[in-house]
Amino acid sequence: MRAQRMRRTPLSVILGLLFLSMAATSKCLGKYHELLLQLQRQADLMQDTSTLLDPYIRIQGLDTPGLKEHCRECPGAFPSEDALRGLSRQGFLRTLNATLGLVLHRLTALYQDLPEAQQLVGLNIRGFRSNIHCMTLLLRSSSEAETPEPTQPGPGPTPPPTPPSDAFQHKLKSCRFLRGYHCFMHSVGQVLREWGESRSRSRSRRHSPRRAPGDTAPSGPCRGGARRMWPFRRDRRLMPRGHLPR
Amino acid sequence: MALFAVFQTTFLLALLPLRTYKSEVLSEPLPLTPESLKVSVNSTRQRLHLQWTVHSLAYHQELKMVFQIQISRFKTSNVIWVENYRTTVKRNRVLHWSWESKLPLECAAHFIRMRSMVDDARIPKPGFWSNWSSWEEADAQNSLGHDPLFVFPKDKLVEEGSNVTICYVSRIHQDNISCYLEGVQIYGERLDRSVSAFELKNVSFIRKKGTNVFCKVDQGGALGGIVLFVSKVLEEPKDFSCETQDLKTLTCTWDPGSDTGLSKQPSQSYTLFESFSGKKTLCKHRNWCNWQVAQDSQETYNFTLVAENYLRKRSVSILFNLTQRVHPMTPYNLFPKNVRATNATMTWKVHSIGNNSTLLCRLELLAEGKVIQQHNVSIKVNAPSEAPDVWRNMKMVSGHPTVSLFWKPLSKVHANGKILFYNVIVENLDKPSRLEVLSIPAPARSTELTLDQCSYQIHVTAHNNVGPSPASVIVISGDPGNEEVESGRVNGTEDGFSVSWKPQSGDATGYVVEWCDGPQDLPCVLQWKNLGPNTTSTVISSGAFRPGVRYNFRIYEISAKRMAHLLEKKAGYLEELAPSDNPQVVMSNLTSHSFTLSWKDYSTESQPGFIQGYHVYLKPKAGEQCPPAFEKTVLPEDSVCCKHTIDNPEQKTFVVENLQPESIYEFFVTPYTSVGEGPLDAFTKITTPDEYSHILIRIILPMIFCVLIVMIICYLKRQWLKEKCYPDIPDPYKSSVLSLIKSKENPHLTIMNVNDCVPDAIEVINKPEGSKIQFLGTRKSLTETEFTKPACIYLLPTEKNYSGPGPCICFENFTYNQAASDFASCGHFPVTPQAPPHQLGPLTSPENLLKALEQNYMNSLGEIPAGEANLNYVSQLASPTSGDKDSLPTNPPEPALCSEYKMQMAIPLGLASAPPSENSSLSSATLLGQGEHYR
Repeated sequence: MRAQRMRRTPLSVILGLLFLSMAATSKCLGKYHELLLQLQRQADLMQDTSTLLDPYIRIQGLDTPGLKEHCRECPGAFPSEDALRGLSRQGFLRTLNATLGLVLHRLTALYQDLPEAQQLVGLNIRGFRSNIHCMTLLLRSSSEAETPEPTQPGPGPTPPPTPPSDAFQHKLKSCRFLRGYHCFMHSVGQVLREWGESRSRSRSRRHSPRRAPGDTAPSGPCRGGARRMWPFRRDRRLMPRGHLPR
Repeated sequence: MALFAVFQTTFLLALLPLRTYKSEVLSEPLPLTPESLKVSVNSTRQRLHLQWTVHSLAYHQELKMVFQIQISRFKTSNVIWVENYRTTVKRNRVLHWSWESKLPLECAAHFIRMRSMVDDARIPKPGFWSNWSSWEEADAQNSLGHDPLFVFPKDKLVEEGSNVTICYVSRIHQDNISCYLEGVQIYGERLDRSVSAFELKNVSFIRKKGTNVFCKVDQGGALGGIVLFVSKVLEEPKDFSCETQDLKTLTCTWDPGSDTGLSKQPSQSYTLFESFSGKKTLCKHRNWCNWQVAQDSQETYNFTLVAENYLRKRSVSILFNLTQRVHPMTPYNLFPKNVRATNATMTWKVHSIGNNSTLLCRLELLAEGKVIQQHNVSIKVNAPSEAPDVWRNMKMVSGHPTVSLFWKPLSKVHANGKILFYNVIVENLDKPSRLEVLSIPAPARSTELTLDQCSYQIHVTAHNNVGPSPASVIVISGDPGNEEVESGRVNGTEDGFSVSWKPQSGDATGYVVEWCDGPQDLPCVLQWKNLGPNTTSTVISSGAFRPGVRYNFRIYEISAKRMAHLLEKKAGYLEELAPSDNPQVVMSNLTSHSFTLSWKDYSTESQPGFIQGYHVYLKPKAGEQCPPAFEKTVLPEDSVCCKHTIDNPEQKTFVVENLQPESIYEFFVTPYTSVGEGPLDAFTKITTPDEYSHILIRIILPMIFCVLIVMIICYLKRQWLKEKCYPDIPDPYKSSVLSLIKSKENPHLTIMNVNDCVPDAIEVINKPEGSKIQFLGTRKSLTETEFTKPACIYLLPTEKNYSGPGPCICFENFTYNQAASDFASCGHFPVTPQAPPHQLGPLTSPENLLKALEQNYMNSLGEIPAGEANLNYVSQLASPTSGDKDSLPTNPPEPALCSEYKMQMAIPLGLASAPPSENSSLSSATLLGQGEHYR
């Protein structure tokens, strides 16, 4: 486990720097498949709990029986997988971008608790958002006539102001947030994978939530997964017209 | 005083029983019962705060009292704490007391009451307790939310090893609630139906993020928890010591021990406090701190290092003498020098340790890894020992006094190491202002300051790495003034210039001799020499002095106020030389006997010696003697010439006199110094003019000028002259003709007055204008015009030999002229058409004109019938030279002799008809008769 983390950390650093440099130079990959593959790999990387959640639980001493099981995702904090699947591609990307923007903001507040991991994950998220931007441009250029979609919902409603929580509550809330983040990225990875599978599947099956046999996506950090709190649309086009794979 | 105290005590003793008795009897509350009791909860510190007052005290009365406080938990009967609180009470003074609860206050309601008793020595015991106050409840549970399970205290910060009581409050009232400390179940005491308490003894530090304690309902899944922040115990700093390497900065170090930093608490801070100076500094590092050594020569230091976090303070002190805590820095730049077979010189550098410190250096010589020699060398390191030698030069730049400050580098003896920089401090003496400090890095030797009209005091110090030198102070007056002093001369010798001066004031603190070390045409390299107050002479020597260069010395007197006043100016040459060049001589005022030489542009200041005068050489023509002011001399090329010596260097003009006219002279001017005269240049040659030419010029020129003036006047007054000299109608009385005739012919000749004439009737008959206009308007010659209208009678002289044209009188009567042309009347000279033009001849010549006139006149007379012409009017004809428009266009050579007669005269027919004779035909006598008609 430790060795695996050691391998993943440099990889994530390289990827983060790579994506950052891409964002800095504002050059986008023009090939849809390559870009989609990058997004999938990034989502797989970001759903890995060893990058953020596990260190946090360890540092905060939450890895004790009786506490660990309370570090669950808060329902509604992030869009569910079904909700993401129900969005059009443009809407999905917009929602993804907005959600990750809020995650970045929240991670900044966690800097005192996870200084190193927070910095690394921040780089990953910025690189991922850069690729989202490129994918958005690619889809827009291939489908100019696509009807504009209504503003997609953000990552859940803002909770009402509460009195300042104590350190114990803060630990649990942050732990749940991080787990929700990883679950969300797992769902994102699933949806992106379906984008790649859409060519080999029939148009009717394109929206199926079922995983294809032989899917090698990493197992998700979420247990259960019955998170249908997020609204979604069924009357959308997943595949934009233009030069997308047919 | 004692009597007053006894009286007061007696009064109180009498008063208190009386009041007690009264209260018992009247069932009233005890007058000294605590009132206005208020209780508040501080959950963070788990403390109950009480405040109350005692109103019943008299004004200015102070009593020592004891308050008994009871605290109950859950219910009033469950008293858990009783404490007597003693204090001094004043009227209306609010009293405070607090109590820390081991059990978190949120877990149980607390009730507090109190009573009081006078505990003053002035009142005999036993005292009486007052009644209890009513119970006051402090219940922090009211502020809890609606969660099913709460655990307290929240985020408590304790030291490692402490005992901590935690509790939970369950709103679901279930028994299956378990609590865990870092995952390990703990067991506690049930205090109430919904409250249980757990005592954690000797808690230990687990992590900086805190120790997690949580309780949960076994089936329901409700979870409550706290984070207990257990800090490591703050340790006393160990090995606290201070040392210095330069006597400027003390570096104190210590072993800080464990870091007590947590999420809840920052790491402990360290403060260094020095008791003698009263200063303190907050250290930026957890194990060392720098302290700037005071400049006031504090030797002993008593430092206290205070370590502090939220929970406690720890301190440690040391007392030491600064000089005993010196740790010299390692010497550097160790090099062998002058290595020979048996010896070598080693050089190295050391870091200085303050001022006036002595370092002992040990030099070890190793051979084959063993020390074979040891040498101890004592090195003294000081700040510069002398103030820099400072001088100034003042000038005005754009109306502002600008001061150039110069200083000399300190000698090695006084510098005590390398001078790093110079500090210039400018202080305004006229008005308070901030000091201006300039730091000028070495090796600069000057700076420039722009000041205003105020006076300034300038301090200059030289700094090495130890410290500053003593300050050199000069005072600059804002008004440089015009210090005009007389200039003198100074003689140069082999040793230099021996300059002396006369003191002016008795309070001089010194003198400064200032000069420039180069020629005047080069930028001044200011040099100066400071001299003591009793010095009145000095020898200025410099390797830069050169022969033939003029050096100007200024002697300043330094007053007690450190202000410099110019005393004298002196100029001198180390060795005078002969002038290197001669002046450019301008020659002027050349006459036949003299000329002037001038060389005013010649500067005597920039010569290689003091110019004593000039030699004027003059070469006269061969054989001629020298002018009186000259003396004969022989030039180096053996030629003989005249020489005149001017012994005043400021006289730069000379008049060479007593020369011969129309002679060639050569001159040459050269200056001379005490060494000799200038180089022998080429002579300039001049020639004196003719002796009279100038006289002629002197006469002719004024004459020409006068003529020009007269001509201008005549031109301007030409009208007046005409009236006077040749008027259009001449006055016969003034006529020169009259005088001429009178003198020559007939002295009785008179002029006829018009009044004497009897006018006849005059008939004007058809005068053809065209012929007149033609005659008047054109300037054709008479040969081309009708020559019948005007007629002139020339007054010819009687002399036979007279050949030129004489004066004439022209008569004209256009009316009768017309008639004459028709009726051959008198006085007209019609030109017959038959007359050939050559008979007329050109009328432009006087001979021709006269001839023509004679002929026409004779013809006209001959043609006049005797019976018809009894009186003939002859009008006057303007002379052709008179400028009249009717004049002849010809230009007779003697027009001035012609006179015009506008006045008509009657001519007797007898006279007119008389036959012309050879002598009288044209004479005036014939015309005027015997004087009957002339009055």
